[in-house]
Amino acid sequence: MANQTQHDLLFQASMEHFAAVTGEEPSESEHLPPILESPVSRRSFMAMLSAAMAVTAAACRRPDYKLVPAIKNPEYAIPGVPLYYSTCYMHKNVVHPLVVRVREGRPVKVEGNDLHPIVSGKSNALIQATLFELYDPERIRPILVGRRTGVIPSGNYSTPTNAIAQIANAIRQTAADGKQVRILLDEHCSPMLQMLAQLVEQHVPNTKVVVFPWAIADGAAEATKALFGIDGTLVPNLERADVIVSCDADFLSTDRNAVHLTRGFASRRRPTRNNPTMSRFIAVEGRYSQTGAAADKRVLIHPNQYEGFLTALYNAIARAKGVTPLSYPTAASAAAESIARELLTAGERGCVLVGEHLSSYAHAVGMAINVLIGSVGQGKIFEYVLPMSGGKRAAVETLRDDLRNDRIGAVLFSNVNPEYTADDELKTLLRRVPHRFAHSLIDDETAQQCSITIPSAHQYESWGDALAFDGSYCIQQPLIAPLPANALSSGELLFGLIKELAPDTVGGAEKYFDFFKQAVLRRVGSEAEWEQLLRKGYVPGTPTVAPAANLSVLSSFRPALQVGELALLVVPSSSVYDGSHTNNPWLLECPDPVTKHTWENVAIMSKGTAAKLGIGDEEVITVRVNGKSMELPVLTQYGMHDGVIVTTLGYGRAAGKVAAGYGQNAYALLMSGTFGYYATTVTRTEKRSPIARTQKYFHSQFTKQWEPDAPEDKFRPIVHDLTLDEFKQGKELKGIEFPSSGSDGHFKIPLNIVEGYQYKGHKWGMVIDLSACTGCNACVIACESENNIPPVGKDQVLRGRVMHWIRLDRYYLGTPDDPRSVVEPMLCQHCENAPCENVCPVAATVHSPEGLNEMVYNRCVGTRYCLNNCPYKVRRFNFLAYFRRFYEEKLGTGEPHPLDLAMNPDVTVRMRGVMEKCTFCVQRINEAKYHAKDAGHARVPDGAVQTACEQACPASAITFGNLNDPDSRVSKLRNSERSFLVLQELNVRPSVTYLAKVRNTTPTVA
Amino acid sequence: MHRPDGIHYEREPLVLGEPTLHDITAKIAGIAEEKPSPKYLMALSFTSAIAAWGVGCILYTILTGIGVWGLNNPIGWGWDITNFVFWIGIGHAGTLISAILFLFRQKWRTAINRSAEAMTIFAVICAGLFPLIHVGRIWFAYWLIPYPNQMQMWTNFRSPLEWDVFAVSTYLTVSLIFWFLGMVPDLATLRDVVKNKLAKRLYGFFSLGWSGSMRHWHRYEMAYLILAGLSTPLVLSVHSVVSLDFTAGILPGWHTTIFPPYFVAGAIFSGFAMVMTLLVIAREVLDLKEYITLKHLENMNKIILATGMMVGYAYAMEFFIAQYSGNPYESFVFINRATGDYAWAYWTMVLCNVVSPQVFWFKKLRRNIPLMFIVSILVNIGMWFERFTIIATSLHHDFLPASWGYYTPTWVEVSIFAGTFGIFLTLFLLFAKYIPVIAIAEVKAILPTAQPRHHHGTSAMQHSQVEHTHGS
Repeated sequence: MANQTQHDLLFQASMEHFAAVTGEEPSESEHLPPILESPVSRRSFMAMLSAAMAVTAAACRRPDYKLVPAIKNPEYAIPGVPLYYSTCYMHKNVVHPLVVRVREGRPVKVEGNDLHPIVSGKSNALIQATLFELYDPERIRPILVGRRTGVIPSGNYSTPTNAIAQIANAIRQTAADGKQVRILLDEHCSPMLQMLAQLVEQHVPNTKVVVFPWAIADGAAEATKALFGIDGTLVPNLERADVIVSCDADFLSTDRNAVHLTRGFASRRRPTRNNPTMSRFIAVEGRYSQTGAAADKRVLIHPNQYEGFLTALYNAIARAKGVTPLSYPTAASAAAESIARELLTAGERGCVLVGEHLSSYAHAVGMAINVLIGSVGQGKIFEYVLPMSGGKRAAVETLRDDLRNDRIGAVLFSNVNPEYTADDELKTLLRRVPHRFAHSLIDDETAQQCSITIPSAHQYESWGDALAFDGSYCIQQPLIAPLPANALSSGELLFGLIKELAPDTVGGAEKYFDFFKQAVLRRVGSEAEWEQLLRKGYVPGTPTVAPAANLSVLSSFRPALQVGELALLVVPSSSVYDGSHTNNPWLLECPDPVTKHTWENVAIMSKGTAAKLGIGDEEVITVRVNGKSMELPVLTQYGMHDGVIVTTLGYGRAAGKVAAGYGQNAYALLMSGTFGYYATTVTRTEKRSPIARTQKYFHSQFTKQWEPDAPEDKFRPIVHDLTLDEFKQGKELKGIEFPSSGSDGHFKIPLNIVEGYQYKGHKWGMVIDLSACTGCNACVIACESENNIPPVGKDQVLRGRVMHWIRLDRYYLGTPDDPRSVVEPMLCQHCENAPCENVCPVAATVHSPEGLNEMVYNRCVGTRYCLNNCPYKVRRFNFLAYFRRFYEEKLGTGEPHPLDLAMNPDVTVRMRGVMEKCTFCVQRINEAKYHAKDAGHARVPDGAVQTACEQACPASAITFGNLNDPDSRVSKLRNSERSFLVLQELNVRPSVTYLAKVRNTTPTVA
Repeated sequence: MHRPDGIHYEREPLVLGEPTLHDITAKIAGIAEEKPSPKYLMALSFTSAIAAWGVGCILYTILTGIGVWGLNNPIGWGWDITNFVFWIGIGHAGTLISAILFLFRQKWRTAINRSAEAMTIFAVICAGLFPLIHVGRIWFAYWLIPYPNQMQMWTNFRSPLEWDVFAVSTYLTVSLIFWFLGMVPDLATLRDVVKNKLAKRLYGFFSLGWSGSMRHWHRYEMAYLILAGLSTPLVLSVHSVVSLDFTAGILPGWHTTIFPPYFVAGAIFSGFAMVMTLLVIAREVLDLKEYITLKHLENMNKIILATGMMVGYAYAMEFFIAQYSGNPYESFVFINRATGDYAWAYWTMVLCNVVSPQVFWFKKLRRNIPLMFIVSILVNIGMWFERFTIIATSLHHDFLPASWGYYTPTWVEVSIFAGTFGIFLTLFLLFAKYIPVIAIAEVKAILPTAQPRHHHGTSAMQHSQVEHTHGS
């Protein structure tokens, strides 16, 4: 949708509005004429008499009832017309401002709020998939009570109020007994929750609210605290960066600010002929991360050298700046020297990013470098501070200490899951607490250990607020009444407890909403501004700007990372993150951006490490850390340093019928949920475990050096990458030269015996910039959500039947020792000369007058010839009843599950036996055409149609539009110097153009 | 024939043992008359059990979805279309032997033409099953037939699958008529011979009132000749059209101009091999050694050798063209065939189809029954693998390596393929028992006694005329 159209439709869903709709009667009835105005005339008497007889005669039938449409429809709720509401989603302590599309009262699609400057309409895979969690069939519905032996308070639990009263009683009791009460909350950035937590701590005796994250990485927060004296972490603005150096930072993938960072990064990665500049990105890492794959230069070092490298880098810069160098040992000094020169050249336009899982020393040194080169401060790369720094290890350790000393008598878990995330000791200690209460979306591991479990409201069902790092205040507006009737948000739960335990402190507010609104009004001012906040989704505010740093504290940090020869890196998963999103099959099936494995966590290691350990792909190994062990299948990967094994958090859940049974719980190896590097030992097992990968071959050229067992192959010009210098020199992108083609690449003889299609109106086309694309999967999930694409399950992925309409093909270029990666999003190319169209015997796939290759599901009999004949292999066949199979298998057949509500009503749900594929979001095209027609335009204005993938893409790598309009963005990009067509030599004439990836390989040294 | 050296040469007789015309009637018609032996019943129940299992698996597929097979995203066709082309190929020799050999007046065909034609019909039935059941929504398969309908939808005549619908159904229809027409005089013989009342009525119905009059014979011979003339181009066209299923695609390994002749040669090759397999068994089991002589088998082996070489030539030519074209996708597909994941299938194919028939260069080996049986089986296996190689290797590694995959069949696909053998053999057993396996009338015509010879008694001649007017 265009900005304007969308925001014309924006409307706030305030409680008052609902009341108005249901409560007030229209007053028109007063003006209606009475039925019998005058004394009955003879004629009307006869008429009434005959009518009475007719009624008597008809009396033996069942009375007819007429359905009368409402004369005055509830405002805005027009069936078939979507509404858009502004809201936001808090992912840990980072807020994603959103606009949600609501159809007939149910949210069906999530998009970034295009008014908000930090996301500008963009989102990521996780945000796109949150809809599935809202409609998760496994959400707790009634309040669950007394499911374990232990102290079960007797009483009434039928409503949340009753349950809260019971919990309050227990808290009162515990406090009276002189024991402590702890309320554990997940990380958040909500001023409301912060305020409620303060009220609890101030007014409820013996009670404290602890931020207890699922996974902890607080190195950056510690360093920031010491260097800048503030609580929070710095958020870089990569739009301003000319040189980016990352030390194992996966800032394009698992970083909480990845949407913002990807936007900034990608904006500097698209050189044009007129402006052939781009940022330079150097990745220093031991693994092969999604971020590293996007780098211009990779420096491969062992994790043990990270801190030494940073020290060397600091020292080189410090010497240049006349500051005392650090005396700690250095490593990879040569690389550090050359990188230092580049950073010094870039000055304030250079930055060092340090992996969030690295030590506070690494962060402190990295930050100090940024301070030295001048990239911290007002208007610089590091300008803003993420105000709430999230969970701290210290808070968890304090809790542990309190538990050890038996100080705690009651604990309430609100959307946290220590039974899954905590280490064994903490788990045991928590299980010993007499009163345990849970508040959770699904019946998770922790909820099962509690005496009372209150269903948690999803963020899309409840009121809340959040603070973004740019100081803006975002409103979290409910889009639907809570699906489980008894569900409460964390805010409502805390408010309820306060109301029970300290009723005087809430300022007379009866309901949470009143309390919330008062608080918001105090912040924004008037009612009109409240309405404006609901419409826009946020109000700008004053950001916290990074203050001056005190580099003298640097000496208080000590290098900490020494993990021996074999290092295990545990990081959050790029799809399910820390496990809080694991019960989501869209995310479980979302392939890892680099290895393309799905559904589980595996042990990723270099070929050299695997050879040394004598193991191969899919063989199961036992990984041991500090006496704890875990069994994982091996996946070998090019581009990694030997001696590094990478695995991810979030798998191995015991609760949740979707999540349970996939992968292993890597939290078991961690200390207090702190992820990062651990020294490890590995032993072989005799087991094998197949890994479900969506891509198995990563070569654009099959040679012995990549794949010793494979047949040799010639180079396939299906992806192109250039160095910036080559691009400046105008290097041509060469396709295959056939004897019949001329030197200009065009064929000498006409290849068609019939005339091509004539496109008189629109001719839809797409351009994908491989230089901007980071392979983050946002488009994949956005497409699934928009187009009702079902998850198929691990068994079907293993069979090669994943249903994604857009897939991110990743190819290696270069050599196995120094591989470069190019990610090539592949979707239906909507060929003008489509090979699929002529082979369908029943004409189920046809060409539209606007250049779309249309798939008519109703007509498809499923011969699959189109799939065979598609050179891009983007067609997806419904081998089984995928639209229901997965959930039936997990939850059993029976009633329709609420997941049906998540379906986009504008898109057909495909049955088994039919072929499906990307439609270029034809439903959005048609919607835009209606709007254009209403507005009196003959053509859809450029940008008015955004495909789901384009809209979600945080890198803005995808552009869609009308190729018949020479001024459209897509037409201009199609004529770019970097453009090429995949498999152009086949003369299928695709409508999707790709722009070659460019790498800035020349060091920028003054 | 008298040669100057005084040695008396004569052509090897086409029927051995000099049976009388009555002997032949008694022998062939007797098969239908006798009560089924326990051995026969056992064989029949065995084959029909396999058929039933296969049909069960087909039902399972229809009720659950194509997902019960091993197909996946790069590989949309696997055993289903392999089996289709395999059976269509088998179905080739029948009409070829019957029609072309008839037109060329190759009299040795008479011993085998009936069973070869039957084999065609049964093989095409098995073949036709696969395009039907391989579609995702079989309940809409009738949409492939162009018929006026309320949807105002016509089929897509640009699609080779549509051409297939016509080619295969035409072939089945013509083959069926050809087979049936050739059988009419023999059915009349059976009608006259059998004692069971129901059988008499049935044979009577299907013999269309045949009386053996001169006029009947005249019309019959003309109709048979015309049908033979019609069937002959069909033999070439059907498999050419089937090959267009692949060549009309743009997939490297499919998009090849050599396919139509190569497929026809392959079909004749596999068809002859299948006839050979069946004849060697029938010859033993039904004791037809006098009628299906070594000479017949030797001739067939020569054809197997010749067509095998053609197929071998095509394999080599495909490789040459792929490298010569300079098309990297094309050349990779062929290198991948020979050295990639499916190399085992490729080399099985080469071994069976190109190497194994080479033994037939030697007369002694051409006339060695166990050997020719083994070779015929090998050729059948090899030809199945040829189709599998073409389909699977071209699909599993095509243009974009990111979408490459691998395909292994599931037990359901294997069962369905086995089931079609069950169907084929069941039909063949029923045929062998209840329909004259050997064209009685035609065999009589090629008896040495059928030709007027001065040094033989006239009694035989008279006898034959009596038989003619009587029965056949």
